Amino acid sequence: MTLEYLYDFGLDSRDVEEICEYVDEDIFTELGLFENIVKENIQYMKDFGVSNFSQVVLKFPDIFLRDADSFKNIFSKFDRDDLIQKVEKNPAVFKKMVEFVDNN
Amino acid sequence: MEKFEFEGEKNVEIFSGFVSRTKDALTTLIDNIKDNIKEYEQRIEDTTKEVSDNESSREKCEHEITKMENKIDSIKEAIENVESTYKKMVDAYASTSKGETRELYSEIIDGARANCEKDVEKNRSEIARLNSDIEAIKNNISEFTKIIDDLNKSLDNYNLELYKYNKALEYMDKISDKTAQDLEEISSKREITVKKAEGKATTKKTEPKKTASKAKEVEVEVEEEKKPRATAPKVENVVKEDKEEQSSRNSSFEDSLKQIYDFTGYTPKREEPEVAPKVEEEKTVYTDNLESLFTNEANDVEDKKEDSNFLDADISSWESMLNTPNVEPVMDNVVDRHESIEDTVNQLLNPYGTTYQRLKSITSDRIVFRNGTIIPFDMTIEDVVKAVNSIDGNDLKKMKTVGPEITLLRKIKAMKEGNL
Repeated sequence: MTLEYLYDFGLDSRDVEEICEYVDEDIFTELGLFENIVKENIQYMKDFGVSNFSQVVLKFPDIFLRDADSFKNIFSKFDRDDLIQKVEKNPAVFKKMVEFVDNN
Repeated sequence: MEKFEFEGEKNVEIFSGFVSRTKDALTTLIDNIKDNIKEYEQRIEDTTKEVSDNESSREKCEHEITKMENKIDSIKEAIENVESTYKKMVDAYASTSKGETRELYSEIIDGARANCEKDVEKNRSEIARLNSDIEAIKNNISEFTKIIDDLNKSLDNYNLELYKYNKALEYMDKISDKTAQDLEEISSKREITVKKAEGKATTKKTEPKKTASKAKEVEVEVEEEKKPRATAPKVENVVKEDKEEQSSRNSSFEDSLKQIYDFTGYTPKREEPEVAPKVEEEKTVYTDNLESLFTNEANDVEDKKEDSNFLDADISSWESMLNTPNVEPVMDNVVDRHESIEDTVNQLLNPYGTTYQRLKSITSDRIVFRNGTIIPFDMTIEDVVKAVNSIDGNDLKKMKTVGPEITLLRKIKAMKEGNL
């Protein structure tokens, strides 16, 4: 199992199967090939204080396929507490935040 | 009491051949020990991996439990919410409704209560299921813990065995070296002995025995041989040695080997190679000579033990002792050339804020597809150079969003897959 490392971040086998089922083949292979980048980014999000980070991983794994600096940049654009509160309420908000940062 | 000396070159050759065979036997023994060391090292490696796998599985189980407990908490909260909502609804409707409306509301309330109860029941059965899953996982955890404990015990045993074999190897190497030295000594003595055999009478009481069978003769001759070795290097002194001194060193080849086995804890488990039986055959004839050889060896080792205490050394020092030698010469030119190429690539990557090593470190060595196909992903310096040289406007745009490292790596991946 190529995404086994996600178990270390609180995802279980059903979550990983779910990811395997719905992501594109390219994203799937990249999640395996760039494991270290993904791990680094998930860890950053976890350390940042987003408690439901595993939900974000489960729903938007492709977000974590970016350079560590670029990933950290997303967090620097928003108020910390506001970001945490909104993402915890709805993980999809993080996707919107990423799109906002990418387009501006 | 009979006294013997070397009679001629032939005797020295016989003894020399015997020591050679002993040396071969020791070499075989050493090889066996080395094989056993390899085997134990492999076992240790495998067991360590197994321990790590089991620990990882146990950790996953613990994650699962935490997750399930969280889920149970959230379900309990949901149940409370449902019950509280239902209660509020009942209160509200009870205080506001009158007459027929009240009857209508009571139907609605009954319906709501039924739904609430159904939800609560469903949630409670979900909690029960989760609790049962948790118990099952806890069982798994205790199984993993037990397996890990067993594996750790095995690991300790293997380490102990390895330690013993390493000691045995060290000991055998010393004996082997000494045997080689003895062989050289013997061959250097050969000429002297031949000259002496020509010049003077060799035995005092062996004359009648020269007519006896060849085997008997050999036995006598080798008993002679032992004397000069025991009192070496002066041949003249041999005549003065008494029989008590000779019998004090009277341990056989088997005894000597047994001593070594006991000392080192080694038990030969493989079939002894052909060399060993040969030594056994010769042993009956050359007992005393071998005894003196091993007596000397044992004394040597004992002395050294007192001095350096090497056999009592800590296991870590043994490991370091074993790990230090065999440093192969480094091919400086090749390394330098490789480093200079890498420097050049790093200069190319510098504008993108990364290095070749960094790109290597964040990339796995294989691509795994959803259908289970695995292809190796070996990123070379040339691949990086190609990718950097083919960066276009689109890549720069991507670099702005997801970053240069992942963009370059994606390009390399696409190139390797033949998509670029």
